[in-house]
Amino acid sequence: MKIEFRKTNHIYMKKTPFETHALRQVSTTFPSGSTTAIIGQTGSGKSTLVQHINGLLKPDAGQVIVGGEIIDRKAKRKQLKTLRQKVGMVFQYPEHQLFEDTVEKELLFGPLNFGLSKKRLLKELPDRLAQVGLDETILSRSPFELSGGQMRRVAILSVLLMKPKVLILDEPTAGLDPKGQEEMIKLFKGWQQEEKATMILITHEMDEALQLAERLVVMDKGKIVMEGMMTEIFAKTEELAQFGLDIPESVRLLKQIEEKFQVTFSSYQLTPAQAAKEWVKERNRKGLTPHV
Amino acid sequence: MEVAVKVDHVFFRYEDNGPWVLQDVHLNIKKGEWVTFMGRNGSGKSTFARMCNALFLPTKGRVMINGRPTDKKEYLPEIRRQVGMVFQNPDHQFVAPTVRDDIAFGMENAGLSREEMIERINRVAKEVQIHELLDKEPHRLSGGQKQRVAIAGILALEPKIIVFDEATSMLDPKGRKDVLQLVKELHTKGLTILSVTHHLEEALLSDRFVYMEKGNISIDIPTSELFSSLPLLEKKQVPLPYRFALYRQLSNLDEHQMSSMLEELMRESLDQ
Repeated sequence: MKIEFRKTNHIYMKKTPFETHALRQVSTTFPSGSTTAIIGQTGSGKSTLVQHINGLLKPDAGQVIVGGEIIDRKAKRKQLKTLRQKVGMVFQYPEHQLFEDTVEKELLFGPLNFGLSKKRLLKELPDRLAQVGLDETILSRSPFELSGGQMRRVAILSVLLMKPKVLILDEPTAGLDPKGQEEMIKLFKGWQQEEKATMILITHEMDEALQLAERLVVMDKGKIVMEGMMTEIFAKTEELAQFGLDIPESVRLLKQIEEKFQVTFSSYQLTPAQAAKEWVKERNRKGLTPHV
Repeated sequence: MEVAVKVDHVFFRYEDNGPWVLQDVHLNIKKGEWVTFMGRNGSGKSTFARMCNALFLPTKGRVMINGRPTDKKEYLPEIRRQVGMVFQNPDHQFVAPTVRDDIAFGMENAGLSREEMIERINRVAKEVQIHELLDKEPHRLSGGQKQRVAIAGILALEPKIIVFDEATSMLDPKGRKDVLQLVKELHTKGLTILSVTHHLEEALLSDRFVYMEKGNISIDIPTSELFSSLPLLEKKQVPLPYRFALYRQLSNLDEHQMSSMLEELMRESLDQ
């Protein structure tokens, strides 16, 4: 599902001393089936932007077009409700929103509310649970006695069960240990490839953006200031620094090695194993030991 | 050697007959030492951290802070003053409407005079560089600023030990850098630092690396041995950050000269 912003403005606390222009004339397109990471400092407008996609916020001026549905200042509640069914949103720390007394009730609450068939949902639950690395024995348990990682999976699955055409993730790995982060990234990647949904990720972590998304949008003070394929944007280290952002750790390290040891890597998206091989090969080719 | 934190075969569980959250944790932390604690979610790191200022008491065993056992009521005020805690979520630790009042809160409880309080507020505000924020409302600050305010409130009580429980994990990269810089400075000034984190890079700044599993310590090494211990972490399925993974790949290719060049490069970039 394609998403378009057309000169969208959003102002918080209008006509008060706290008036804040959170979005200023934002125009951009998220192509259908694309994966995009939105990055920017706290207060840059990332969350405000995505909350327009599932109808949590309405523009004060301009339009947001989600799969043909046009949302503007005058959009009706009913319109916004249809959006929420098509657009799944996983908030930060989604496990804080769990409330039912069993995992099964928790998982079915949203989908039933949107009128999906209970019989069909129950039938597909085992497969869906496996997809996020859980098993059926969990269904009768209270969500509150699960581990943090399990709780987050349950919260995420409750969104995925609504079969959203667009999935928005707001810092989905925050607070997880590195192993948990790795598993979560695998989960979303697998789901996206299977469902071909449009996926939008908000993150502070460039490395996470690199792993999950092909496109990158950089926001600063309510505006989109950079936009394009991941590799194009990582080439512009200085411009990124201007917005208080770093290139991913891996890219930075490879650039440091290039500079210090006069090596040239074929790309900045190498796995550690590939990078090690290229580095050794280059050293052998030169036939000398690089000075330290 | 002066011991700041002595943890003597500590066991802990939340309920009688419940599962052990800590099982026979045993270590001594030297005065002025900076120790990094890592481990999976649920391995007992945070529970352990809360033992250090008597938020939790051992079910079995004993924790001593500068020679004072945490389970003796008469030492509690002293221990709470000596051991400051900085938590993960900066929003969960503010009580007052302004930054200034928030820093004053702990001192008021400690019964300090007004003059003393004003002097200390000015001193710590300078130390953590928040003097321009003193009249602001805490909830309007950025995450990194909030954590620095929290640290200022602790420093005002002149602690000997500070425990950081994933204090940088909710911050953006800039906020994380600022807070880490501050921790480095506090360490240089001689404070004992216990830091719970998921970032292996942060361990390189510290003196000692402790890895916890299922309520127990399974690795306890000086950080100078961290690189040679990476295979052990891999065996425990700890995903290595890119630079550590590259280091491992080079070692696997028997390119030891190159891996030590990389190690040197990593240590150099820590100082920036």
